Amino acid sequence: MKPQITIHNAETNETVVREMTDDEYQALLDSGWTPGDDNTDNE
Amino acid sequence: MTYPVFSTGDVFYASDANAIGLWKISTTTFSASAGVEIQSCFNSSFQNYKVFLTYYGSAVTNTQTQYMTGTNTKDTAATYNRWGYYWTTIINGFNLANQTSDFIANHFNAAANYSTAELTIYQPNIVNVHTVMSVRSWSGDTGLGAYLDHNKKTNSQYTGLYIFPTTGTITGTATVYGLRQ
Repeated sequence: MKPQITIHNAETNETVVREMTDDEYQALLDSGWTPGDDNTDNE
Repeated sequence: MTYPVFSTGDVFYASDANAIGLWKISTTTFSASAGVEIQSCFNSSFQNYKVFLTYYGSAVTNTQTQYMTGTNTKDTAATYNRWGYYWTTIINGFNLANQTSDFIANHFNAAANYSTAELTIYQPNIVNVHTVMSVRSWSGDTGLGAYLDHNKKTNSQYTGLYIFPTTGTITGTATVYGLRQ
């Protein structure tokens, strides 16, 4: 399971919370991100 | 007369609203997120912005930001230069060029001792100027204070801000204010 991302649109004031896409997750990993101890799988 | 100075029965005109210099644009909360996009928070109505963050991590982590263009395109190719100092028992200075993100704070994972940060972002939506960010952050559980400036040496017109940790997830609230000249 990939980590979740929160997406807030300031114009519409709508917020969506969903699992990251493959591209978003790869970008996160490329930034050097590690899952830590919160039980998020590091796929 | 400088508003707001109102009396009972006064009429509030559009010109009065348009004269307000500090405007709350949006607040978002996030929980256990490895990334937080704040889309469409920068626009031509305001020149400079304040962002206030209250948050904590699922693990000990740094928190970083990148700017966004369009709806949600993160400027991962930008050159982010950062300099400043942080202190715990002594003051430590740093000057780092060519980073892939801006840096907010290093903080721990205690919800009761949340961390706070105040970002001042200068002219992110104005094309052909460098976007500069000044950061003042404080970690509630360690007492770590950080004072930084970032200069992005490209001239993109930004519309949003992406906040993400280096480890685990973050939980908290972000509020964006616009400052009108």
